[in-house]
Amino acid sequence: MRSSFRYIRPNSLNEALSCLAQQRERAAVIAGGTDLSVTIRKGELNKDYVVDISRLPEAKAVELADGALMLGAALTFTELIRNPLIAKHAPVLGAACRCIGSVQIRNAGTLGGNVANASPAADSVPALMVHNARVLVQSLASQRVLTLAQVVSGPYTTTLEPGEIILGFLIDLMPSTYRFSFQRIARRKTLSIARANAAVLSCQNSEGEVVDFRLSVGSITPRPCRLSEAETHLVGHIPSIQLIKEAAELVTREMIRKSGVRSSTEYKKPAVEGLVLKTITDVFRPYL
Amino acid sequence: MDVIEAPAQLLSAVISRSTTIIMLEASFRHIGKNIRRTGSAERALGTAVFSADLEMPSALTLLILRSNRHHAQILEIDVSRAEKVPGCVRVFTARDIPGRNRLGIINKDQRLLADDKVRCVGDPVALIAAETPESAERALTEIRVEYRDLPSVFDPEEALRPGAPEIHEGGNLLGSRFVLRGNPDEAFKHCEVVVEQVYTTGFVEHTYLEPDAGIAYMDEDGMLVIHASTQNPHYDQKDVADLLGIEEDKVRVIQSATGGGFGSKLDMNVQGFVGLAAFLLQRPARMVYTREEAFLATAKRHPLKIWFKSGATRDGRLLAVDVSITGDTGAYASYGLAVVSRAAVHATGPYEVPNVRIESRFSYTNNPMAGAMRGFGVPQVALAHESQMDMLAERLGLSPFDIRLRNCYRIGSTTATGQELQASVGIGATLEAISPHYHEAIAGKEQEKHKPYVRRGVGIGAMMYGIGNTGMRNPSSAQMRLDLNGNVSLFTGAADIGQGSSTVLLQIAAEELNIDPDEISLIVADTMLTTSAGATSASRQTYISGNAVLEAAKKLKDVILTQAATILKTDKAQLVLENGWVHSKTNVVDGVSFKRIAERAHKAGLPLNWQGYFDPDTTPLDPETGHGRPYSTYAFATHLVEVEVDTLTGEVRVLKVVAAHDVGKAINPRNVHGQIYSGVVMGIGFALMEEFFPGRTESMKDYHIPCAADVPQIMSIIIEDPEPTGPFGAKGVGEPALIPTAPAILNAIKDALGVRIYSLPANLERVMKACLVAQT
Amino acid sequence: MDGNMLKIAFQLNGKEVSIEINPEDSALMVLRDRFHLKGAKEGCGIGECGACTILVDGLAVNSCLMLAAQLDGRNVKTVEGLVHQEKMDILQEKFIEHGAIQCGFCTPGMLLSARALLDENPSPDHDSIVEALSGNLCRCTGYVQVVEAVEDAAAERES
Repeated sequence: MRSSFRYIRPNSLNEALSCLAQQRERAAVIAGGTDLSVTIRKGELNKDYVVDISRLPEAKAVELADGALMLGAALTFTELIRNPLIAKHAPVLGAACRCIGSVQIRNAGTLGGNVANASPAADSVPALMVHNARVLVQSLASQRVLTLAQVVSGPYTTTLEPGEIILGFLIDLMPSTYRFSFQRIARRKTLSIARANAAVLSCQNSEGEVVDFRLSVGSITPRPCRLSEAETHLVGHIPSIQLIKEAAELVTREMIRKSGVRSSTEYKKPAVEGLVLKTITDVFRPYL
Repeated sequence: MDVIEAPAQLLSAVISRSTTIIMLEASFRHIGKNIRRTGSAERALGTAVFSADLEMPSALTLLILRSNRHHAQILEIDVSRAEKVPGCVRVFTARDIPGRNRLGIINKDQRLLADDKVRCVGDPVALIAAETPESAERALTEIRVEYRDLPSVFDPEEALRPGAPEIHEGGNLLGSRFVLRGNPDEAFKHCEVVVEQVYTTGFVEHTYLEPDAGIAYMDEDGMLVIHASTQNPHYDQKDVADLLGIEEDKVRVIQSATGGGFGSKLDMNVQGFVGLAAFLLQRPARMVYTREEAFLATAKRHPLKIWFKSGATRDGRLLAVDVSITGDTGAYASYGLAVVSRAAVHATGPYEVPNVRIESRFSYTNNPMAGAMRGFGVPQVALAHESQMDMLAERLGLSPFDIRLRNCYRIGSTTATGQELQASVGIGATLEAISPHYHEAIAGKEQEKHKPYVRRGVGIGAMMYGIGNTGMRNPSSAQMRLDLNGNVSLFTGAADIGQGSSTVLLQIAAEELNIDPDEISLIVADTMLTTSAGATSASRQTYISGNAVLEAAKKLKDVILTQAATILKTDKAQLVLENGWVHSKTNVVDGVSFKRIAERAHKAGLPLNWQGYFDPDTTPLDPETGHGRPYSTYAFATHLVEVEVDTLTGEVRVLKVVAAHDVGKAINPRNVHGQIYSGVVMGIGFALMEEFFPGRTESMKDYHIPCAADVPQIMSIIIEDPEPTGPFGAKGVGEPALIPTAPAILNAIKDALGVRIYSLPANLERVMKACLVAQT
Repeated sequence: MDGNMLKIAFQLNGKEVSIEINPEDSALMVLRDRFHLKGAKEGCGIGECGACTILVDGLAVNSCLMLAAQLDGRNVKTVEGLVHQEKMDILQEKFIEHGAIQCGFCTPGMLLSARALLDENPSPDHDSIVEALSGNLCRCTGYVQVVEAVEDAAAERES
């Protein structure tokens, strides 16, 4: 039986936050509904209110300010893919959004929803990680600016307090000298959850030395993470296949450290190394 | 050989091989033409009525309480609290069934509602009838069932060991089939090479897009009417009547628009439940499965374990095969016995082998029921026989292409069951059609420079498939009628589930009567108005029902000609039919209309409703040796596949498939191409991604069928080696289309990596493992 | 009808409509059960198959994953709205002509995904068509004739 609740679509952000402040644990937030609808259908949403933030202008905004890009949480994946500012300043995110679900899912699903749902396989997360995204967490009383790892505390769990919503994301503008790649492994070409996904953002100096290297791999750890050991392994060096292979091994070492050895590890260890190798070489290809 | 480009499909072609029948292509008006599929306009408009679309405001909602135990005795079912839920009308248990609580097309081993025990998770235990879906769902949570768990078994080999938990009375062996030819033990001694291997396949879910649904009501004459998504309305009618203890003619089953079946809608899924509730409550009742329920409760493809030993001479001739097949039919038989036999009979593939021993045994387990699924076990055994052919070729230094051509059936060949093939043996022609593409693919297999980790591979898969049921009668009947207005009607019980049987039958009738197909009224799959055409299964409707329709049309034509000859005072032989008129071959102007002929015949008391009947010429298989004539004709095919394997991640991309099929005669080439594309894509799913894990696979999130982006370039080639007993030479294509793809893909992966995978699906994990082995 | 009912108004196939719904009703349920538009189908209920695809403000979405409440104020098109002045959409004609319809259960959703694509990009290449249709699963056709039908519809409009 479908879960029952009252549906509220506030006309302003303030109204939404007031409502959430009042109802606290009794309210759930909906935007695109692509995840929440599944819970409702199963009858597993135990809330009295569902607050729809999908039309709030603040949650739909795309703004450039103070050297950062502000992205509203209720932007759909399609809106993100089509936005020229994202293509220019946050291209890894654009590439990741193109891989999500299907056209239908991308037309409804939102960035804020993808993060708040906290699936370890969420495609937007590694992209946001390499873009150094900060999460704007808003409640009636306060605003918090958190890292993604501070928001997503484990598979399908977040640190969001009752009354709080993800209002948007702040993203560092990617300088034009940076190169990037986003790749994933899945059982079929679309409409499939990633077995693993990897995002790389990198910059080399005129000598070809790596001066900034950011790597995040999804589906391998309970919380979003940047693979700092692998990153450090490349910074300051001219990339080589050998170096990249070593970095890939550092990634799976970290995976096993954080997630333990599971039945899936037999596949994931070589495949994640392969995926990381492919994603990094994609970025460095002209130099290898 | 004539090569005809199929219009609107540049990649595809039709190749005719007129060997035994003289076919005057030009003289056909409707055969071989791309007539639009019947019912496609309604489907495009969204107005076609599928079972869940039928509205009946007073209809009760039905829900089933299903077992959450693998194997348990039912001690008590308490429905008292459930029946007190507002809006709950009744809760039925096995005790409420007035007739015989047994279902099953071959073995009557299923219960509509569990009586003494449940045999798998998902077994129906109680049926709720309620005013609203909400009441039904509330009532569902209020039923208390007390079980006593019994030991369970999930491995088909374990199930046959002494002391294994007994799932049905009489033991866990569902059935076995033996095929013996020559002396395989002696023959292996003379083989230059022998290869031996074990192959396994998993449960596969049909994943037709329309979850099962149906609605039932009592009509004003006291007839129980059931509209349902089904592949076999006449079987449904019989089992529902038995269940309710009433006469068959008190049950009318009407096939709704059916959203695919692929074998799963051969079983009674909702029909018994809606029938029981409507009959006992005398109120309309409807039931619509969710996808989750369709996954939980309907049949799967049988998982097989195949031990296969083949031996060949130095020049690559197959001398002997020894095969042992174990199958898991789950908790119930469904079509299991048909799969036992068909798997055995097809185990040699389309190759002549003088010494054969095949043993096939299926057992009951507490797994979900396995039943019919597109190919009835042949897709599974094809993986084995096609891998074996490549392994032999490799050992002998032959090409996969040459070893197949050397051994494939020809006219005059004798099959493992001792049947001599007399006509329409197009396997060689399919291989020849593939040949240029194969050699081109081998020559062009270049390595991508920038991606050293991506390896290309080329593979071949071939198959044969017997049309119709195995070694048993499986007749079809049809009627053609001329009414007093001169209108022609075709009555057929053959359920069209999307594959296009109605279109083909209409073309056959239209050709014989030389009338536009649009001018023929079509009455399909309604047990009150049509007689049985048998099941829409085993790729049999074109061949078997096509022949029945053709016979009916011939009889009607003969009566029309006889009447016209009297009216026109001409010799019957001088007359022709044309668009509802009969006129002389020489005098086109003076003719007589069907209407006038009908009126005259009616006055004379001559019948204008004629039945056609066809039962293929088969004989039962000998229980000891398997000898006999299991089918009266066979379809053949060869697929060529090119793949790309990403050795870093285990991902496989199918780049291209060339599929050549001997269909006898393509009544509707576009529909045949459609079946071939369909089979290839289902074959890609079978090869690479589809596996149903009982207890773990719950929804379409957990079970992936290919999407549009997974589809490679597909070239479909139709070979027409006419079947003398087929309607206009036609055989069948529905299941054959699927069979060669998966083996060809696995052979291509081997070609790419140098390492062979013996289990389906070749998923990410299995391919990754093969890649790692290849690197060491 | 409890106090929880919610009134929504939207444009449905070109007509302004309003209706009282339960807040938890999906858009698919309301279209099928309340407006009796049976073209959109439930194939999976969880956004995995695309049989329930409708157009909302011109974009293809899974109506099973959308609350009916979210239709409020939107412009909605279902397969029943494809026929214009008693004439089939070119896509409907081409689907029939190319044999792109077998069982037909996925067809309404396929048509709407294709329609959204052509409205946005009248001359899509093969890959764009495949991408646009990848959220609509079909078990019968193998997609080949579906893609051909869309290609042909696009070509016809161009010429």
